[in-house]
Order: sequence, then C-alpha cells, then structure tokens
Amino acid sequence: MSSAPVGIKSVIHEILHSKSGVAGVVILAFILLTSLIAVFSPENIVEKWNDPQAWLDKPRLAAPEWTTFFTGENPSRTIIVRTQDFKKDVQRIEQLNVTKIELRARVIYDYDTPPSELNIMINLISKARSLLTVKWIRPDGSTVELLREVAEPGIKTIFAYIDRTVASNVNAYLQKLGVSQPLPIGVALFSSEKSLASGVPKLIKSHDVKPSRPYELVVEATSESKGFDVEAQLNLLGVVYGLCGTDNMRRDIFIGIVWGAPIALAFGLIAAFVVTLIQAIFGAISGYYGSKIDEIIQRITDVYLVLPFLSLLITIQFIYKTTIWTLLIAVIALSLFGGVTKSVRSMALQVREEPYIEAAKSYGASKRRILFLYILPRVLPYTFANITVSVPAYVFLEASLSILGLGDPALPTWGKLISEAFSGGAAYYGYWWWIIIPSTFIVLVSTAFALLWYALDKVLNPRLREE
Amino acid sequence: MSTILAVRDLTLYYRTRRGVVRAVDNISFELEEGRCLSLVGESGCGKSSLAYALMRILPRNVHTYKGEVLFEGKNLMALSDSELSRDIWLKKMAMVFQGAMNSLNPVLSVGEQVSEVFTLHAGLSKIEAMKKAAELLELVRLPASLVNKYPHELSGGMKQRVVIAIALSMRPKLLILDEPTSALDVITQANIINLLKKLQEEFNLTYIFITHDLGLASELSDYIAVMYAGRIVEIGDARSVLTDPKHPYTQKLLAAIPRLMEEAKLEFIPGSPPDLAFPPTGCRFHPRCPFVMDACRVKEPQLCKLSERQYAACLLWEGA
Amino acid sequence: MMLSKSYLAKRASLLAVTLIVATYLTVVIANGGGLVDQILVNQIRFDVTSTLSRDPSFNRLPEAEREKLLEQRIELAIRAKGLDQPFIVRSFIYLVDALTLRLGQALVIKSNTGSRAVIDIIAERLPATVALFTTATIIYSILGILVGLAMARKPGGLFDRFMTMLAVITGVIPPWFFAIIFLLIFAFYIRLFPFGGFVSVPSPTDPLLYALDVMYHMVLPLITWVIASFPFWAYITRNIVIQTIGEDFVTMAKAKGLPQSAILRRYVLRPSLPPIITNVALALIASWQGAIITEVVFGWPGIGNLLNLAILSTDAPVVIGATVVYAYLLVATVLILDIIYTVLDPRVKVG
Repeated sequence: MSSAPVGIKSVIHEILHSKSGVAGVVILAFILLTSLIAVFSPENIVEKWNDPQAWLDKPRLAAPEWTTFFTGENPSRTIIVRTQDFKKDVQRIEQLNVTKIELRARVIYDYDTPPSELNIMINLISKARSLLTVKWIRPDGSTVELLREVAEPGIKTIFAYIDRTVASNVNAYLQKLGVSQPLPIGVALFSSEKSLASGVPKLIKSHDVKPSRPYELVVEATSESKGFDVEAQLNLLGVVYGLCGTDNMRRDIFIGIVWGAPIALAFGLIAAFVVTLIQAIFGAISGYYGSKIDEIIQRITDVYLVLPFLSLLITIQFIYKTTIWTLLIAVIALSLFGGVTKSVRSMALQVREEPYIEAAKSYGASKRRILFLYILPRVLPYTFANITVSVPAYVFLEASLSILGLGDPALPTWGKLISEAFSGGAAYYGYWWWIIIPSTFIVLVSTAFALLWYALDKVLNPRLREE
Repeated sequence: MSTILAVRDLTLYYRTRRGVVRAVDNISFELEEGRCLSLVGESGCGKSSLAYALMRILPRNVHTYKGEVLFEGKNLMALSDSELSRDIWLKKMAMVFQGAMNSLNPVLSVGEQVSEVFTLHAGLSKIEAMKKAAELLELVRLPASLVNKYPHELSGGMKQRVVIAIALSMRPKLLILDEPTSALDVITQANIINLLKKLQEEFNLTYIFITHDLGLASELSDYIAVMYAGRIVEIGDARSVLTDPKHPYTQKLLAAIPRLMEEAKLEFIPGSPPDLAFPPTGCRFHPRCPFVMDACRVKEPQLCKLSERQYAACLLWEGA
Repeated sequence: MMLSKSYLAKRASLLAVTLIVATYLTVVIANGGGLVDQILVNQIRFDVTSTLSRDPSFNRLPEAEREKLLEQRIELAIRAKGLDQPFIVRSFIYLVDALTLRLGQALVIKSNTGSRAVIDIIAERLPATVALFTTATIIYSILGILVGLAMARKPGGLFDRFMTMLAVITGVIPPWFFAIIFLLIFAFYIRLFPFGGFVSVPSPTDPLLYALDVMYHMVLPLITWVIASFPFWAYITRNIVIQTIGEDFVTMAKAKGLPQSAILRRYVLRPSLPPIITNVALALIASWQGAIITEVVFGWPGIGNLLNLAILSTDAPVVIGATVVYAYLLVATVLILDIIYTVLDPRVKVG
C-alpha cells in the first residue's frame, strides 16, 4: 500500500482516464443496458423460459441467422402462417346437414433447404367429430395428401416430420411414384414430383416456376356440428433463427442472454461487495484492536481459507435445492472471512500508526468511531481491486453449480445456458452457438472487470507498474 | 603515496517520470592510497548515486553516464560490464551498502553468502570456502559459529560487520562505504568505526566514506568532500575543512551542529534541498546562501584551489 | 536442516481444526434432511445383517424368528452407537465417523469390485483425480514461474502487459470453462483428441499401450488446465520477483561480481519462492474445487465425476463422503505447502 491516501474520487478519475478503464466501463455499460431491458420488459421471462409450449413456433437447435453471411447459403428461415392469414372458404351443404370449411395457406418459398420442421396446428371448434383432410401442394402443382381421418374436436398439433400417420401417407405417395426407398419427409414434401420420380430429389422453389407459385397447405374439415369453425396455423421452422440461435427446447438464446445479464450482474456484484465489505471490516477490527481479538479473527480466517468451499455449496444445494438468492446467502456465510481479511489487517496495522489516528484518540474518539470513520475509509479503496476481480468469479461460481445441475432451477442464467448446452451435447454435435454465445458474454463480463482492475491496480500499486 | 583513484567529470543523470535527475554532475577528485575520503551532504544530494557511479552499478533508467574513473591508472570506463564484474568488483573496489538490514539475502546462511565468492570465483571447494568465511568473520571480530546462522538471527551491528567481511573477502584496495552506520545505535556505530579504523591500518585500505553525519566524518577521515545538489562544493583536508570551512554551505552545516559547551543559538539552513530534476540556475546553493550575489544566480562556480589542501566552489573565492 | 517444530506444529494443529470444522459443517448441513441419520442406520443394518447371515445358527431359524432377532440386534446396535441421542450428541458421533472415514453405504452407486461402501467407491476414484491434479499443478507451476521471471525482466514491456491482461482475464475463468470450449475445438472440429474419458473403448490390453492410451486421454485435460492456470502464477511470480529485484541484497550480489546465473538463482528466485507459495496456496485450493467440474466435462473418472454422478443419482452418502474427502485433500495440500515453505524460508526454521 502506498503511503498517500487514495480517495474514491481519484479512483474514479483514474479509471476514466486510462484506456483499459474506459474500455471496461463501456463493456459494463453495454451489459447494464441489456440488463435494464430485461428488467423492464413486460413479459414474465422466467415463466416463459420454463414453459415448452411458449416456444413451439421456434425451430430447435437453430444457428443464428447471421451465419448465413459467412456460408453464403440461403437456408430456410421460419415462416409462420396464422389463422387470420389462411384463406377461408365456408361451404354449407344443406342436404347432408354438414358444413365444410376449407383453409388455404399460401407460402412463397425460395430458400435453399427445406424447413427444419413443418408443424400444423388445427383447432376444430365443434361439438362433434369432423372429417379432416390435410393436403400439401407444391409449386409444380403436385399434391401430397398428408392426412385424412376422423378427428375429435379440439386442438391437434401435427409434427409432420415425425408424425406416423403423415409418414405412412407420404411413403404411400412415394411408392405410387415408384420411389422404393423411404425419404425424409422434408425432402419429399419440398422436392418436385418429377425429381422425386427420377430418383434424384431436387428442391423446388416458388420462383423455379414461371410465373412463381406458392406452396399451399389445404386444410379441409367437414362436420355436422352447429357453430362449427376451424382455425389453423402452419409453422415452417427454419434452420437458422434470430440473433443467437435456439437451444434444444426451441428457446431463443438471445432472450436467455438478455435475461441472464441482470442475474449475472446482480449475483456477482452483491456477492462481491458484501463479501469484501464483511471481510474488510473483520480485517480492520483484527488489525486495529490487536491482541486477543486479532488472534481469534486470524485463526478463524485461517480455518475459513481451507474450507472446501465449492464442495460445501454443492452439498447444500444438493440437499436443500435452494434458489439463487438463498444460494447467495450461503455463499456469503461461507465467505465471511478470507484473503481480504488478511490484507486489510496488514493495512490496518500500518494505518494505526499514523499520527492522525493518534490525534483522533487524543481528543477522545472511541475505538469504534476511529475504526469506522478513519481506518475503514482509508483502507476500503484498496479493496476495490479485489471487488472487481471477485465479481466475475462469483458469476462463474453460479455457472459451476449450474453445470452440476445445482443452480437455480428456474432462472435462465448464463451458467445455466452453458451447462444445458454442455449436457445437451453441444460440444459433441457442434451446436457451437449454444456454447460460444453465452460463453462470450460471461467472458465479456470477466474482461470488463479485468480491464477495470488493471486501471485500478495502477492507482493502488504504482510501484509495480513503473519501469 | 600513490594516487589510487582519480575521478574526472563523472556524471550520472537518471531518467524519471518527472524529468532528468542530475544526481552526479561533473564530479572530479583524486584520492591517495591508504587514505579515507568522507563524502558529506544532506539526503538527496547525490552521495549514494556517486558511489554507484564510481562502481558503475547502474539502474535501468540511466540518462547520461560519462566521465573518467581511473583506478590505479586504468580507466574503468574502458572496461566492459563483464570485465568490471569479473576483475574489479570486490577484487579491487568493493562497496559496503547502506542499510545492512536488507543487504543480506534472507534465505541464505551467513556462511553461504560470505563463502559464495570463493566457490564461484576462486573455484574453491565448499569446505575450503567455508573455512575462509570463518576467517573473514573473525577478521571483523565476529564468532566463526555465525556461518550457520541466518541474517534474521543477527543484530544490526553484526549484519553490518558481515557486510564488511564480504566486502573484504577478496582483499580489495578501495572500499566505498555508503552510510554504513546510519541504521545503528550510537554505541554500535562507534564499534563499527573502530573496526574500520583497525582494518584500514591492517590492510592499508583506502576508504570513501559516505555519510550525512559530520561528526562521523571527522572521526575517520583524512579528507572531506562536501556535496550539494550533485556537485562537490568544498573538498580538502579534513582538519582544514572542519575548522576553517570556506564554502557557505559547509559553514552553515558546521554551525548547525549543536555544541554542548557553548551558549550559541541553534542555527539552521533555511529552505530545503533542491530538486535534482530542476536544480537552480547558476550556483545551486544560491537560494539558501546568506552571501548570495547577483552573479551567483547566473554563473556556476568551479572548484578553485584556496590552499594546498583546500578547494571550494564559490564565487566569493573566485579570483582569489 | 532442522524444521522448526513450533511453526509446523502450529500449522498442523490449525489444519486439524479446519478439517474438523469442515467435516462438522458437512455433517450438520447434510443432516438437515436427516440424511446422515439414515446413512448410519443403513450402515448398521448392513453390518448387523452381514454378520448375522454368516452365523449358521442364525440361518437355521425360521423366517419370523430371524426377522425379530435382526431387528433386536439392530436396535441394540443403534443404541450402542448412540444414534437415539439428541441431535448435538449424534452430530459428534457422525463427526468422528466422518473423520475416520467411516462413510457408510452408498444408495445406488457401486464400486468396480461390487462394494457399496462409500469409502471403497471413493478410494477407487481417488488415484485418477490425484494423478491429473498433481501432474497439471506441477506443469503449470513451473511454467508459471518461468513465464513470470520472463515478465519481470522487462516490466511494462509488451510481453509483460499482454501476459498481465491474460492473467487477469483467465484468472477468474475456471478451467472447466476452457474445457468446454477446447472440447468443441479440439474434439469436435479438429478431431485431434478424444472427447474425454480415461481410456478408449475398448481399452488396449497391452500394459504399455494402455498407459499410452491413458496419457493420450490426459493430454487435453492437462493442456486445458495448464492454459487456464499458469497465467495467474506468472503474474504473482512477476510481482514478487520485481519486488525482490529491487531489494538491496540483489544489488549487493551484483556488486560482488557474482555471475548472472548465480544471482538469478540464489538472489532472485530463491527469496521469491516463499511469498510465491503463500500467494498461490489459495489458488491451489480453488484449483481442487474447479477440478470437480473439469472432471465432469472431460468425463475423467475421478472424485469430481463421482460427485456429479452421485448428484444425478441422488446418492446422498456418496455426496457427503466426497465432500469429506475433499476437505482432507485440501488440508493435505495446504500441509504439504507449509512443509515446502518451511524448507524454503529459513525465517520460520528457527524460532
């Protein structure tokens, strides 16, 4: 510790005037902004994050859209056709006392690859069963019947690529064409009939036909019921999606990142500040009061330093499965004494000898007053460096617990994203965005604080920087 | 008596954040073998820097280093660093550092540190080297059993003696002692000074003794040089300088020493030592000099011979 | 070279206290759900049952009689052990058990030899963890010190500033993080190294090939660990060495005309080592804990991986046992460091 007192103002001044300090502040401001967006957004992200139904219209494990810039391809994007965009045709056949409703969706499709999924949601609003037909028409005019069955009223979701009925219908169609080998449904539905028959399937785009024709989905439902209505939605899910891609539960990773930001910052900052402050207070007490108190605090600190910190947290989380905020309390409880206690103690030992402390004593200031009004403020700026380095450490601590499945069960923290990526096999199957993007953000936070630390260290330890 | 050391225009400037510090500014003097020259001055006047300059132990941030240092007629400046390290340091010229507290390596035993030079330079075996180490310790009136002890087990005075023993291990001719006693209590100081006197007699050593304590200087020296702001302002035979100082600074220094028997008022030198990065123009002492003249602000006085045994650098005496 | 008994004795007793505190904490925390009670009761059940079932006279009794006798004996054993006592007393019984490594029976996991005893399961995994950890630590500590020395040679220079930044950034990033990214790069994209595990499947039968196979699997974890850890060591070394170089005794060594190599070894490196060790002691403790997840990421069959497995299978005895063993490992590490410290720094040697 250099002999001149360091005030908060000079610390801030130094940070704002050094290149690394400014860089660190800029990065942090960016992340803070992201956090604010998350905090003030109207949606209840936590609920939504844990509800698989909320993400059905997003593709699974889709890479970010900007990757197409590098690959030069034009892979499929997500196209959602909602009920209101279907062309509805209602026919009432009086003789048979049935109503026939036809919903037709037209989609201009010009991508280089078929969609990753083709999902159809049909809502049959009826009191009785209806006859349901789903047909798929390509730009070359060829039709494939996907479904023909008697359906119960209610919502029906057809995942065309994996639905067994659809699969058998498509295979029947292919066999009629003379195609002996089964093909993936996506290939079958999006290749021209001619190319299918020839044995070399080729994707047909809307613009391959002159004039360009869309793909069409025709949903026909016939029912006796009064007040019969049909709603439908067609999801053509892309291969790429969004700014950050999606995970295996179809969740937009961008939302996970945005929501992870305030959690990461809050957890890290609170833990870092509280732990450092508590340890500093104990260190100052230890150094200033000396003798017995000093001995006791030092021994306690020595014990704390060798505690298996993470193992104990693991045990706590394993048995009690707490939320992130209870975890925070556990972390603080296990960190009441530590390295900062020791370093603040040695600083306090020095400061205690300074003349103005003697002066304060001589005009009757109590020990406690001296401790909190003179010694602590003098010593605290030197702990800032420790705080800046601790914040990312705590963010990673939370991530460590998440990887073991012991993090907060509900919140989408960055650590959770990475851990889910890892256990979802992202490293094994190459879903790199799932790993790299949350990782980048965590590293960004670490770097920001590292830059801040570097700037601070120059103020607090000038000797070590000089030539 | 031959001249063992002749220094001409020795200059050492450091490069620092504040600017160029002119620690040693064109120093010249000569010293005869077997004599002791004391270098006296306030803290920060460049005394230690002069010692480093003489030995050529230079830090990283040197701005200027030039001049001539002739040891037994040979110009040390012409030698390479490795030649200096191999042939001169410790063997011809040795330095005893300020603050023996830190001059000894805490993780090596006293014996190891004293005998090192023998194993690494003279190629002696460990056992022989240790024997020599024990001899050296006895030379400085320390028990030979100290070879197995570590520096932290020794008192300040003992450590200083060990440092002296190391300095003498290769029987150098010239010893530069930089404030060897400033960290010690008065009694230990006296013991060390006595030891130094005896050693000088025994081995015909030449000393350059750097101190801020005029009293110590008077005990040991044949000659005294007074340094101020990187320059020698007065140099001469010890008795003459002490009894009849010619430079106003020397006069003030002597006057500031409280005398037990007299009733005179305590004197002090007004102002503070100059910043060596931005020394005053002309005579460096002029802001604090009671005899300052206009010329002093402009012209830098050179050492002029005032008598056979006394030189002073002051415009008062120029032309005399 | 006499090691100061009082310094080491003090440190050892403090470490013993730490061990007891850590274990007691574990026991108390773990028993929040009455888990430790269960573990010990199960252990007693197991012991009594296996003892009795070896007794031929017992086996000749009818079913109902056997049941009754078994329950009686178990009751007695429980009372003898003191498990019917209030919590405070029980907690101390558990403490003693845990400290003597009587860690009970696992619920789900079995060791390779079929034993359910937690201590056996852990003992099986311990060598893998210690091997990886020790090798990595030795490599990155030496590398760190060398790089730190290089940094100290030109403070403020380009290499120095770059490495300092690297040190601070990687300092807070745990090794397992690098592990995931490296797996992505080296195992997925550049198929240079295996995805993890201890040996390939099927493992080579030839002992030499087996050993090489294990080493091949160790490479990526080692590289990851070393890259993640050495910059911090380098930085600490650099700071301490810079301070040491500024000390008077180094200048004095120069003035003695000692050769550069001797000065570097005896006057720069050696006095720097004690404070370096003090400073990195904390880092080593963190390293052990980070090892847990690194093992999980690499599928390295050590205690960390075991811990993960136990968490997934909710095998509480193993989780608790592993925590106790980690406490032991930490205390052992710190003790070794303390011994090394006393060897290096004579100021604690005598008095």
